[in-house]
Amino acid sequence: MGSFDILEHTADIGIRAEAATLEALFEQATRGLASIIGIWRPAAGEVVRIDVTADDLGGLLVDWLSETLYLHDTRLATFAGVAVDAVRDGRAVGELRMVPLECSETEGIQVKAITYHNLSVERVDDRWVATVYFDV
Amino acid sequence: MVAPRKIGDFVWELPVGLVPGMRVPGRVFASDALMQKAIEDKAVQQVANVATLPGIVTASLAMPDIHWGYGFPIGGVAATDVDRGGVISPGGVGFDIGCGVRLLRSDLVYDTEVKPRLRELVDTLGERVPRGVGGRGRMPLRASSLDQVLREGARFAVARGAGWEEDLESCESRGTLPGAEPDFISPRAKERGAPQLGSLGAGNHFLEVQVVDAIRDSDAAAAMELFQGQVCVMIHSGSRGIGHQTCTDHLRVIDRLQAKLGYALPDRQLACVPFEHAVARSYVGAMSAAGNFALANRQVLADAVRESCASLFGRSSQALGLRLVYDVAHNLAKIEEYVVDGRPRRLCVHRKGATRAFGPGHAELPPRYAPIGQPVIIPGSMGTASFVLAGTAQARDLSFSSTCHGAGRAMSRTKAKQVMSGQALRQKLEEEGILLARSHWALLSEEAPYAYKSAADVVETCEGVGLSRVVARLRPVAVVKG
Repeated sequence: MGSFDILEHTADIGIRAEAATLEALFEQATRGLASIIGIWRPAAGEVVRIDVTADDLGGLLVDWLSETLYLHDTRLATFAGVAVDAVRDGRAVGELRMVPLECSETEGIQVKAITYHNLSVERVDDRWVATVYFDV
Repeated sequence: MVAPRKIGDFVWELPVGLVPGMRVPGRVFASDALMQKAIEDKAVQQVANVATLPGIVTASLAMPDIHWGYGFPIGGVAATDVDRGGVISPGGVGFDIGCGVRLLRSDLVYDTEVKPRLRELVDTLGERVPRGVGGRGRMPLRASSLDQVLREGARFAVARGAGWEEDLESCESRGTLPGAEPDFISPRAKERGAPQLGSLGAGNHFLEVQVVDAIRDSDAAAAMELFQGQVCVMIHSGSRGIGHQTCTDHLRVIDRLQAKLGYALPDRQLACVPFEHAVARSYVGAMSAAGNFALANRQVLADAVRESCASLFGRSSQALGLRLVYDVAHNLAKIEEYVVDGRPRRLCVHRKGATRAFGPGHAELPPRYAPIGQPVIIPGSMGTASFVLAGTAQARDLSFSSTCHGAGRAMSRTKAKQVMSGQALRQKLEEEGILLARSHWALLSEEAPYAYKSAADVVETCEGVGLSRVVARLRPVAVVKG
């Protein structure tokens, strides 16, 4: 388990996520992104596999979230669930559950992209903490 | 952080050394009040960060609508010497590549011809202008046609009947950015973009019916065919998903090169690559292609406006005089020539939330604008005035021919929503005589006027510095939100 908070930004918006494991951290960040867009709607749904690689944890998180955003934008679908199997050795693997949106309106903000601004993924005491900002 | 030093009426300097690795000073054009907001907002720090870019010349600049961005501040301008190791940074263009504004003028007089039918007009526009998240456009494309859009920009839309040949002369770069390379746009970026041509998008994008309510420069207004009491339509939109994905794709590649290039920039979003590097050439080709999509997108949206007006008023859009004043981007990097240290240099001018503003006589301007300078379209925030400016000769030396791009945000979206609900804001705006097309009201107050600085303060500061001069003020009467 873990949690996420919204971070204020004048023009854009960010999240601070935390969890006991890297896998749960990536799940929380995904939930955070989906909540901002207004598309976090737990349900069954079509399972889409995600497999991304990067040189560092921050880059990996950006790539993971960018992949989910691409899937949302091209399929016009909500996020019904997320399960990250493994985040290790520069690779993140897991699955997103998606349900097509009934209309193009959502309850949240359109996110254009995931940025590297003030990006961090670090171990704080016994928790993993991530900060990531989105362009809206 | 050391306080910026005021060196002129509206000019503030950030000395080299403020941030480790600064190669040039920072320079912010702002009134005292606008500067105070920029300092509180962390944006000034970002001006100093940009000054660390390899090959940057003269200064890292910020326009009066400066506010906190990601990497670059919004309102940031940075020019790098491309023949002396200067870099290009995708963050200096942003994710919404080619985002910009266009203004259509008309022969319609507001009080007598449009005011009585304003509700019908806003409803018609609301129905005919695709908008919102995802938002399928008016001209969805097959893959082969998409490459043509990416190469030809607004010219593609005109050739398909969405507009007039004369529109192209009133677009930046005649409606087609040179050097576009559709092959450097990824299949997934194309997948995002193909259905979206001719859609407004969401967030701060909008289409507004406005009335010219003050003219300050009558010669320039005459050249732009603007007159008091006249109805105009302003369109603010960008390259939609294709631009967002293109920046994401190329930024990822460039980010991974930073260590190899020996760069250690203060913000990872500033990732950059020498302009002559093969990776930069890919990005530039893709950026120009996405910029062409943005130009085509605004062209198709303008066609929707003309069609709506023609159907409502029972006259052709030509008969209504719905001519294009100008279309110009505020998120783009372009190669332009300037004199630096007494020598002409080829510079890559990044404008992130800043508008190119060529002065009188510039070779790119259409003949009717040569005597007055390039029109610059400055959207206000919903419910407040917008402005038409003209480029100045001084801006060439002050800001690489750049000026502001809008009011500039002053409040986060969360705070803006706490001040007033979307429904309450809608009611307030309608009481003030500003009608809104049917929308998702819950999100409306994120873009409320009180979340922005005053565009009037921003444009007055631009005129005070000499970055541009005010031609006309336009007040909104109807808004179609993205």
